[in-house]
Amino acid sequence: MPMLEIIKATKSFGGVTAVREVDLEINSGEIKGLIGPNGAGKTTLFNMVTGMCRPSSGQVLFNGKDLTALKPHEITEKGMARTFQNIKIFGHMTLLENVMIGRHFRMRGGALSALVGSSYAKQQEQENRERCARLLDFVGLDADPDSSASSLSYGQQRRLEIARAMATEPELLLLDEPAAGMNPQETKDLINLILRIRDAGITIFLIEHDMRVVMGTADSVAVLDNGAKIAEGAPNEVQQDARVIKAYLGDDSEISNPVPGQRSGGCSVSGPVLSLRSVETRYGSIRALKGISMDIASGEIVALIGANGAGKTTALKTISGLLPLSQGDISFEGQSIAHVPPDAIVKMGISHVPEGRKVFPQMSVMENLELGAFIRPGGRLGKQGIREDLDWVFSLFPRLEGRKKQLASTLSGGEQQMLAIGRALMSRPRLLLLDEPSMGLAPLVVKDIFSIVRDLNRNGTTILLVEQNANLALNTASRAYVMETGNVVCCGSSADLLQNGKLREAYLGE
Amino acid sequence: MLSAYYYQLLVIACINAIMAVSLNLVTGCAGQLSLGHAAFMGIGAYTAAILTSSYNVSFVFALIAGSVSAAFFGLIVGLPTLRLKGDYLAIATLGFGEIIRVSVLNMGITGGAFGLRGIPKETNLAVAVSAAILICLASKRLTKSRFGRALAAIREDEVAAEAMGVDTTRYKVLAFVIAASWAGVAGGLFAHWFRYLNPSSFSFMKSIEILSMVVLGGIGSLEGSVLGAFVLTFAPEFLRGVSDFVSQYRMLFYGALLVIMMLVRPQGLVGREVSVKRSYMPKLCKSPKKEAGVTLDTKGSTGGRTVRRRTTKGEGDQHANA
Repeated sequence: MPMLEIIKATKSFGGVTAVREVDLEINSGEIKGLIGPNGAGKTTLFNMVTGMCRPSSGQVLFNGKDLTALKPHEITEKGMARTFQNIKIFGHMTLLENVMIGRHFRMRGGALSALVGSSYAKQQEQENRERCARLLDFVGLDADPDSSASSLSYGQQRRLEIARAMATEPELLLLDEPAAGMNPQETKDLINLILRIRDAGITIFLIEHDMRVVMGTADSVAVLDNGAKIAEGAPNEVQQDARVIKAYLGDDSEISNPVPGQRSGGCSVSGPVLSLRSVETRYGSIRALKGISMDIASGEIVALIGANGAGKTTALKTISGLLPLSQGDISFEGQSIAHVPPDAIVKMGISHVPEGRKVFPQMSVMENLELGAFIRPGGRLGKQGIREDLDWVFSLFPRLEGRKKQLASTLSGGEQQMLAIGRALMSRPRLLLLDEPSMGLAPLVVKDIFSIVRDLNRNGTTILLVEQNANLALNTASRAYVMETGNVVCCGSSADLLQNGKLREAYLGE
Repeated sequence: MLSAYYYQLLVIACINAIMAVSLNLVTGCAGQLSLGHAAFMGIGAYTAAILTSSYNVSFVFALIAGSVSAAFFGLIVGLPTLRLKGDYLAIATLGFGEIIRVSVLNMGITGGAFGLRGIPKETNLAVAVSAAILICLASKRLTKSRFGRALAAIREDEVAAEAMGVDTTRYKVLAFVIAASWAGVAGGLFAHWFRYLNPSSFSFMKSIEILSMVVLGGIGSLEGSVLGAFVLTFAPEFLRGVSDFVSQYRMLFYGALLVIMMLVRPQGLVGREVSVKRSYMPKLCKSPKKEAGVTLDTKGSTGGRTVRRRTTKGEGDQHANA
C-alpha cells in the first residue's frame, strides 16, 4: 500500500480548474518530486493533501485513511508536515520557540497546568527544548536559538521551517520550493539535508523549480501542467520528455509567423530609450536582482525570459518604481527614473501590465479603462482624446466593447488580460511593460493577445515582455535577455537564442 | 496618608490594569482584535452587584460568579466570531458589546437607564491591588507556557500554526474565555467601588479606552499593559492640574498625546522592537510569486499582528475571481 494516495483530485476556484483529476502515489521511503511551470497547480495540490483546502472532487488517502474531511491540524497529527512556498515562520518568536510549536501536539498540558505551574509541564518543556535544539543542529542552523526568527536570512528561514516541520515527527514531509531564494552553496547544503532527512526514515514530497535540487534528490518526478499530470518517471527521463519540454519552453508552432529580427542581435544598442545599469533590488536581506544591466532601443520588442524566481517580475517592478532599487541606475529617454515614484513614472510614459492582470475586480470594464487614463488632463479636449483612445482600445479588443458595463471580475482570464493591456494603453505609454501575458490562458487566446502586442509595436510602442513561455517570447521579440537567479546570464537576438542550448539549461537544468 | 482623590485613582488604575492585561491576552498574545471587551466587564459588574445587593451573597463569591458568567458569555460569543479574521472579528465583537449594553439598558433587574444603586462598598485598594497582581501573575504563567506559545504562533501566522498541529479555533476561544473571566473580575471590583452601575460605563468607548492602554503600553507586553493602564488613568487628571488653559482643553491634549506617542514610538512604551511600520506596507517580500494555490495560503494569514492592514487580501480576492 502506498503511503500517500491521491485519487482523481480536482480543485476549482470559481470557473478556473487549478488541479484536474490528478492521480499520484508516494511510497514509504521515497523522495517524490513535483515540477511544472508557474500556475500549474502544484501548491494547490499540496494544499489539498494537507487540508488547507478541500478537493472539489477526488480523494486523498494517507496510510489508507481518507483525509478529505480533516482539518489541517488533524492531518498534521496523523503524521504529515509541510513547509510553505512563501515562508511562514513565526517572525517575532525565537528559533527555539518556532520549533517548539512543531512539538505542540506531542506535548500535554493546557491553560490550567500552566496556571498551577505543574512540575510535569516544566520537565516536559525541558525535554522538548533539548530535542528542538538538536533539530536546529540537524538542519544546520547555528544561529543563537534564542534570537528572533525574523533576523535570519532567507535560506536560514527555510531551514527553520524544515526543522519546525520535523519537530512534529512526520512520516511524510512536504517541502514547497525549499530552494527558492537560496544561493548556490545553500542549495547544495539543502540537497544534502533533504537526503539526510530521507535517511532518517522520512518520506518526502517535494515541489521545486531548481532542477539541481530535483535531479539531486528525487527518486521519481511527476510533472503538472495546467492542473493536469502530464508525465511521471525517473528524473532524467522526465527531463527529456517532449511534453515536459513543451510545458516549460512552449511550443514553437504556436506562432506561425515569427518577426524577423529588426535589429542585429547583441546586448548593446545605440541610443537606448530605457537602460538599466547594475540594478540591484532587495527583499529585506535577499538580493532578488544582483546588478543587472540592459538596454532597449525605441521601437523594439525585447523579451526577458528565465525560470521561475529568476527575478523577471522584480525587474519590471523595479523599472516601474513599484519596488525601490538599492543600487544602480535606470534611465528612460535620458532621464534617471531610479528614485521617481510610480505614478510619476507612468506620467513619463511607462505603463506596466502586472503579472496576474490585477484588474479592479469590482469595477466595470469601462471604469477600469477610464482609470487607466487617470493621469491625463481633463477638460473638453482631454475628454475628447480619452474617448478616441477608448474607441481605439475597443477596436483592438472588440470582445471588451460588448462587455463595457460588466464587472471585471466576471470576465474570463483572457478578457481580463485584454482589459489589463487596454487599461495600460489608456495612459498612452511609449514603453509598455508586459508581465506574463500568456499565463493561464488557452493557446488560441494567447495567439490573439500576442498578435495584438505585435500590432502595438508596429505602431511605435516599445515593449519589454516577461514571459514564461520562452519559445513564444522569442518568436515575438527581436532580442531577449535571459535571467537566472537574479542575474542576466546571456542576451542576444531571438534567432540565436532559439538555437542556443543555454536556454533549456536555464529552465530545465543541465 | 493618601488623599481620597489619589486613593480613588489608584483603585481605578488597578481595575483598568486588569482590563488591559486581559485584553492583551486576546489582542496582544493571540492577535485577535476585540472591540467589545468592556461588555465582559459589564456582565461581571452587574452579575456580582445583583448578587451582593439583592441576594446577600458574599463579595468574594459574587466576584467569582461575575467572572464565571463573563467567561460563559465569552464562550458563546467566541465560538462563532473567532472563526472570523481581522476587521470582521473586530466588527463582530463591537456588535456584541453594543448588544450587551442595550440589553442591560432594557432589563428590569439591572435598573435600566436609571442604573443599579445600593451596591455595598466592598472594594478597597488592597483588594484591587491583590486582584491585579494575581491576574498579572496568571497572565505571566500562561504566556510562558505551551498554551502561550500556541497563542503567539496563532498571532504570528495562523495558517502555519494550524499546519504545525495547533487547533487554532480551540486556543483562540480559550484565550477569549479566560480574558472575559478576568474582565468579569474587573467589573465586580468596579461595581463594589462606585456602588452604582450604569450601562454607559461599559460602552464602546470603554472598550476603545482599554485598547488604547494596551497599544500605548506595547501590544503583547504584560508590563506594557499595566503601564499603559496607569498612564492613561492618571494622564487626564494630571493635565487637569497643569493650568487653566490645559485643564479646559485637557481631552484635546490627551488625544494629541496619543497621536504623538504612536508616531514616535509605534511599538508602545515597553513594546519590543517590532516593525509596526512595515506591517502597514504591502508585504512585497512575502508573496512575490502567485500560483493559483498561493492565495489560499495568504487568505488565512491576514490576521497577523492585530493592527495590520489587509494588504494581501485584495490580491487573493482577485485571484479567486479570475
